[in-house]
Order: sequence, then structure tokens, then C-alpha cells
Amino acid sequence: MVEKKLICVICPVGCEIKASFEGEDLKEIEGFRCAQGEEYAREEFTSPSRILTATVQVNNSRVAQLPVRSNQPLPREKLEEAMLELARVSLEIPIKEGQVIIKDILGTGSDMVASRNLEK
Amino acid sequence: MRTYDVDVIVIGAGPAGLGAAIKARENGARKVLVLERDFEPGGILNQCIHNGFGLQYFSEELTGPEYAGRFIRKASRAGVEIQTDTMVLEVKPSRQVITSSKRYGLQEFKAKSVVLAMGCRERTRDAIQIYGTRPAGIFTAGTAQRFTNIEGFLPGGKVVVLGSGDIGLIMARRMKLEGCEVQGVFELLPYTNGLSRNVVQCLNDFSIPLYLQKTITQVHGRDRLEGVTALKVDKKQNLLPGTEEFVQCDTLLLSVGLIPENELSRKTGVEIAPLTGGPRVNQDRMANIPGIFACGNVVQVHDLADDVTVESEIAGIAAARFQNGDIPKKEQKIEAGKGLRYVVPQKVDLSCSRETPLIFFMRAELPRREVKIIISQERQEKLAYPLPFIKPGEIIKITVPPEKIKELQPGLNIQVEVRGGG
Repeated sequence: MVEKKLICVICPVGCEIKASFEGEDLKEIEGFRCAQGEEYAREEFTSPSRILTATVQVNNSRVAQLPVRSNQPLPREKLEEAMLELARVSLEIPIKEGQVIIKDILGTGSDMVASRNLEK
Repeated sequence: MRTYDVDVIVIGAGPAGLGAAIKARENGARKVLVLERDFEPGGILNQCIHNGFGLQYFSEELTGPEYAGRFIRKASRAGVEIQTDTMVLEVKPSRQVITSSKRYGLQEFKAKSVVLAMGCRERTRDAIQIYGTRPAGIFTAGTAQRFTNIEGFLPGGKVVVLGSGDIGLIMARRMKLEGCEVQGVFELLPYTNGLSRNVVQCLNDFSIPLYLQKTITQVHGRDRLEGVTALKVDKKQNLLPGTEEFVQCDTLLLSVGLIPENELSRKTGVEIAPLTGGPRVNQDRMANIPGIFACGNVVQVHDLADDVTVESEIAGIAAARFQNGDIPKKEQKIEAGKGLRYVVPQKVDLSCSRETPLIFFMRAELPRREVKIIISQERQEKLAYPLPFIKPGEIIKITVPPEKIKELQPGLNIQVEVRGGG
């Protein structure tokens, strides 16, 4: 039995949540004070994921970088690999907010999309 | 110099300025002009590419540019005019505004009301007096953020961050994701002032160390930064000699506090409250000079853009109505009592009828759990708001609805304080 701990970040109370694992299997979880906290902790213990925000290069614009975001959370361990994919992108304006920049990045099912308009 | 007549002039096209301008238009002001010194509207939101904006106001999680984009488009639909690349040189108490721009030269605007929405600036190395040479590689976190996220330059390769507020934490992650080596985040206090979510997602996720009760006292290097001296501090933030440690780096990012930017306001004669660093305002966010309003980070440094929007909408509505003479006249003081550093607004006229709620923003002196925020007059408790916890890093917002405002007596000062808790 392996025990892991985390601080819940759903609200500022900051409950300390403990989980015990047998190998890969989550056996027991305790310390949460609400359903949202439990859901957060379960996911955070088993498959943590994050929205990735970054920028990509644009060539003919006064704003030299286009901010982008993933439209779904990515597995945490894929964030740095996703950055390498984004580093290869080079775009021309105009660009529309929501425009897909990389579809299904790293096969995660999440698209990287523009998070602003860039007009001529 | 050309002179133009305008109903409402708004200075700054960040979230505060845009929020105020939209509400002014929606409440009857015909010509609303926003003056912006940058080349596009949006303010600092444009460089805050991370998500976490809009959770309160839109009930969805947006990035900074997305949050700004919504207001930029809304302003345009509402018929708000925005003049960019324009620097405001002076605001006269009579509400003439003098500007300079490459395109239009010197201009003078005569406004019926003026909304100050200039935001805040970062404290620099000078403000915290770090000893040493003057090499390249020392930036405020926000400057580095602009270089990285808008201009397309990385400020360096091996980074130390001083200050663990949200901006410091977010920049630590940003630098790491861009391939920099991040040596650590140093924090003078025994706790971080950033959201725990940011500690988890910006530092723990990337194994970036957080050094509490440690600060940076000296920088080294001639042309380029070569390293910093870090030192432990005790509970009272006294430096502990003998604990010096050399940390190698070529870049130091400072996230050591924000100061409302009130150079213009001071020149106009706007009274500044020492504890907030911003104009002393009433419930309409009007300053001591009639017709001059202020909102957002120029009034108090907010934690959330969403709160800036809420405050700017109050100021925008009031700025539009000012032309009809609908303004508070007999103002009473609102005083910050036990457990609070400050309360905004600092004054109120309760005889002035409003169908809108009275919103108090305040900052706690110390972290506490299970407290009540008490609003009283002449030592008599009038309203009580229980809160599960308060901490200095998170602004407290109390909304008093119109039917509750009636329980407060016009003509008397108001005291706000923290009671109970541990």
C-alpha cells in the first residue's frame, strides 16, 4: 500500500486529501469536504490533466506571438512535448479567435486554438 | 491644438477602462472616448495568456486575451470610441484632458466626466533595494511576460524568480515551458501570496522549488547577470547573516508587488488614500473632484480581472449619470476597523438612492478562519457576513443588496471590521 497526499485547489479552504494505492489502483481516498473536492482528487491522483496555454510565432504582425490554448485539458506529462510541437508553428495573419492551430495535438483529442484575433 | 467636446473620457483601455466605457454608453452617455497609450486596447490582459479569467463574471474559464476580446468587441458594438497610441499628459480638475499622439498631435478634450482607469505598475529593483552591479538580465515579471508573450523574445536562459505572488508563479511556469532552466522561486514571507492552484500547477507540476523565508540581497555580474545572493530571513523578516548562498542565473524576474499608477491623478489634485495608493472614492467611485471617477487597479490592486470589471461598471454608470446631477453629496466615512487593512469605497452617501447593491472591497491583515465581517454605525452592529476564511492575499468582497442598505442610517459614519475566528 502506497500513500499519496495532495492539497485540494478547488476552493481556498485547501483540504489535505490522502489516497492509498495498491500498485496502480486507487484503493481509498479521504480528507475531502465536498463532492467537487473528491472528484478533483480522484482525477488528480489517477490522471492529472491541464489546459495548456502558450504562444506561437506569427510573421507579418506587430504582435509577434499569437496566444494559443488547448480546448480540452491535456495529460500533464504531455505538456512539454506539446510545447515542442507548437515551436514548429509559424503563421501569417489574419487569424481569428478560436481558429484551430494544431488539430488533435499528440493524439490527445484536444485542439490547440488561437485565443485572440490578429488582424492586418 | 484642436478641442473636442466629449461626454465621458476614459483613460486606459484595459479591463477597467473598457468596462466603464461600455456601461457609460449603455446608461445614456452619447460620446464616450477611451484613450490608450498602447497600440491596441486590452491592457495587460493581452500578455496574460494563461487561463483563469472570467470564472466569476462569465462563469467560464478564459485566457487573458479572450477576456479582453469580449470587452473589446462589446465596446465596439456599444459605440464606444477608442483612440490608441495616445498619451494623456494632463487631466485638469475642470475635466479638460490634454493628450499627445503621433497621429493627431496635441489634442484637448472637454469632458462632462472623466474615468481614471490607468491600472497599476510593478515595483522594481529600486523599490526593494537589491544591492550590487547593474547588469542586463533583471526584469520585472510583467516586462518579461510582455517580451515573451507579445514581442517574441525570451529574456534569458537560467532564471530565478523573486516573489511568489501569482505573477511570479505564472512566469516561473512560462519560462520553464519555453525551455528555460528555472532555479527557484524565492519568497520573503513564510507563505505564498499566490493561489494554491498556481503553486500546484506552476511549481509542483514542473518540480520548480519554492524557497520560503528566503530573499535576494545582491546581484552579481558586469554586462550580464551571473548570479544572485540569497539569504534566509527570520519571522520578522530580518536578514540572517551567515546564511548567504550564491545562486547562478542569467535572469532575475521580480514579482514584488504592484502600485496603482496615479501620477496623472495626483497632478489633477485627486486625493490619494495612503493604504490603497489609489484615489479615495465614494460608492459611485467618484474621487474628491466632482466628475472625476476612478476604477480598477488605479483605485486598489485587485486579485481578479473579474472584480476590476465589477468595479468599473459602477464607475461607468455613475460617470454617465453625473451629467444629470445625480451624485452623492453628503458623504460619510467608511472606516476599516480591526483586522482589515483597508475598505473601498472610503466614503458613502446613504441618502442617495440607488437600485444597485453597495459593494465593499477589503483586505484582511492576517489569515483567519470562521470569521464575521461586521458593518456597524456608532458601535451598533447593523450587518454581519460570516466567512469560512480570510487571508491577506485574497480580496474580500461584500455585496449589500438595496433592501439591506436601508438598515444603515444616513448621516452616520460606517465601520467595517473582522470579528471572531482563529
